[in-house]
Amino acid sequence: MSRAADLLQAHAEVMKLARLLGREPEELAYLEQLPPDDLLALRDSVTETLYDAHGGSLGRLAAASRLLPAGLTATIGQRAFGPLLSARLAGLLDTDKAVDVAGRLPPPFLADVAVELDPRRASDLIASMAPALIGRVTAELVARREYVTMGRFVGHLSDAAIVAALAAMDDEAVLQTAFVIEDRSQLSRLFAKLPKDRPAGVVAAAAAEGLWLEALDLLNHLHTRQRKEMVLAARALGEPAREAILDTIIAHDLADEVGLIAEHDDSIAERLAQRQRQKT
Amino acid sequence: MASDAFTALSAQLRGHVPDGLRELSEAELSELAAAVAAARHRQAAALAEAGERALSHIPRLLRGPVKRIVG
Repeated sequence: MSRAADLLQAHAEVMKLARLLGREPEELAYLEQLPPDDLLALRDSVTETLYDAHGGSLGRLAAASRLLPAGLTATIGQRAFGPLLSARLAGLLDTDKAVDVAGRLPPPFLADVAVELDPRRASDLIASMAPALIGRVTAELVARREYVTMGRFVGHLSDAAIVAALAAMDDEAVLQTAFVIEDRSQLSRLFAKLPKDRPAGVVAAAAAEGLWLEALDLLNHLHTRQRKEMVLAARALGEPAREAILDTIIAHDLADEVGLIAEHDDSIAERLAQRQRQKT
Repeated sequence: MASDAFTALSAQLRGHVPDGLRELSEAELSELAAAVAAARHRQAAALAEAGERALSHIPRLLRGPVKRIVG
């Protein structure tokens, strides 16, 4: 990953940590100087601390909820516990009960819970949720531009839920979420579920929003066929997009990405050399 | 030797602090430790309030058994 991509990843990590700590990301801006891996380890440690801090009380609340019907548990979750405690409790409930409860809650509240939830603590629940509901919650998160939240969930969703989530995401949301995805080994799986015309849409979103650094960083994590689709789509966008890609490559010294593009667009090396000749 | 602020943060996080955080200043480490402590307090307060609020939604018949489990 380039230095510039590292900085963007560090920014995304600080956003995730800020959510966990109930702070504004700007208050933790001093952490952005640290490597993303250290920030991830710090967030893991804070997550463990907060989840374990009141584990006994939360476990007893989860046990008590077994006495209550799902509808009442949903009402209590929304009106008494709120998103933070509901997120802490989600992974402690029996999965079938939790799925039933989630199905009775409005998507905006579930989106609030998703922001607070550590998906690793509720992986069975997330994998078991109805794809249609995942789609509705995703639509809420997209409207709030909650890319870091969506990026934390991808690895825990079923294939059908990923399809439903992608249908609720515009092309920019796919790109932004892909860039901050928690588990980068999931990127090729995510892109494999995109309908045929959408990789070109994601590339067009990169051009429209000036997100070439994010788009180029993805190339490192996609399968060859997926990379080819992205490169050919960028080429089809014409000269301004190709110039913007060269600008990004030069500004951030993206040698690895040049090699990946060259596999499917043999003009890249020559255009880059030409640019460097013009510069000297 | 670890700084006082690094030690305080380490105590908050039960020793699991990445070494890279030693690059932070004392003030930054203290601010981070304070943020973790505040998040714990926020969670504790939310739990205390939620217990009472939850009971008001539970039918009277079930309040006794629920209270016995929650303690």
